[in-house]
Amino acid sequence: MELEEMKSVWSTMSVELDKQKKLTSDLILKMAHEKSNSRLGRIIFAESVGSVVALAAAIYVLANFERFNSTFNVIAGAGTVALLIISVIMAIFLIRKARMINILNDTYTEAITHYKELKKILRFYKRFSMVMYFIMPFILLPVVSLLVIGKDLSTDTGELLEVLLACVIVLPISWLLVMWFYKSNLSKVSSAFKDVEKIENKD
Amino acid sequence: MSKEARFTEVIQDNEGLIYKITSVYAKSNFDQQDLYQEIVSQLWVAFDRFRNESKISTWIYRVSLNTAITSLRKTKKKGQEMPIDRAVLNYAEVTDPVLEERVKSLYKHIELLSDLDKGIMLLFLEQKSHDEIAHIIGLSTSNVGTRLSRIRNKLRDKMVNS
Repeated sequence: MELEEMKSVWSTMSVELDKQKKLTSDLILKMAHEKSNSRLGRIIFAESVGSVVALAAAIYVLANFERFNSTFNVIAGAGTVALLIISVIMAIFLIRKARMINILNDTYTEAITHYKELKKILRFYKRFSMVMYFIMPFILLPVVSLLVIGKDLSTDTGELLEVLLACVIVLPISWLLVMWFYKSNLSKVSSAFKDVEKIENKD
Repeated sequence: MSKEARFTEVIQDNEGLIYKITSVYAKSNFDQQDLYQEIVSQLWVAFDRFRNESKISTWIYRVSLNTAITSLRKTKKKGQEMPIDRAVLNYAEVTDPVLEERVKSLYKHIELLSDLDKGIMLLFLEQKSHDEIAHIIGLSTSNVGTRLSRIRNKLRDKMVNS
């Protein structure tokens, strides 16, 4: 495509765009709303996918429970199912709270109350996941190993220790990435609230 | 007329322009939405400082391109979530399939350029003169000419090689 041809396509597209005026006069508020909404959308999407995966995994573990043939494996299996179900419940709470935030339709006080509630849940989530990352390898790995690879780690302590050591390195990194995701998205939501606050103060 | 009303009018008159800038720089629908809002936020913040010394569109180009390039640097590591052609067509609602294909091809060509060259290319496509491009981007007129000529060669090479 030559530059002159590109110019002609661009110009035709511009004419089409000019016909499609979409923005309304409550633009600033809407922009602030969408800024928060798109960020909350990412959190809701991540949590929804996570909860579906966790639920499917819990069902899979329960369906294969008879394969856990030692006390260690039964405890690990039960612990994994409990952990997955708790994760799903927490995700549902989080999604509900995130969906309640609506800067455009709520009053600023209502929206900020919902936002604070979401932050409170996330603070709990952070503490909970930190504790879980210590417990998780002990209950999750034997289950995954048995059900996916068919290897019983309860009979091979050496291998169990090697896998746990690998977890010590990998898990803190993944935890930091997850926390960074929430932090960066929430900071954008928070900046949207500041925009609204500025507008409210002007009125 | 209040500041809000004036600003709203300016944005409404130039929403297509801002849209085109976001469509060139954003990699996904989410990013494009964010970038659009970021640009409008920055324009709002800078609106008090606009002194009518230049055309309003020139001012919008400058603020928008600066915001897009800065924001792109911040989010570069995020990766692509949706091809840009889909994001563009979501808004442009192009019904002509031939034009749709040509628009896709156009964006694929622009995608090959560096961040700064994308801005120069966009202004060139917007029928801006070399002087105007230089004024908006902050380069000398001769530098703009040289860069446009390199862009032309680069696109030609790509076309020959593909």
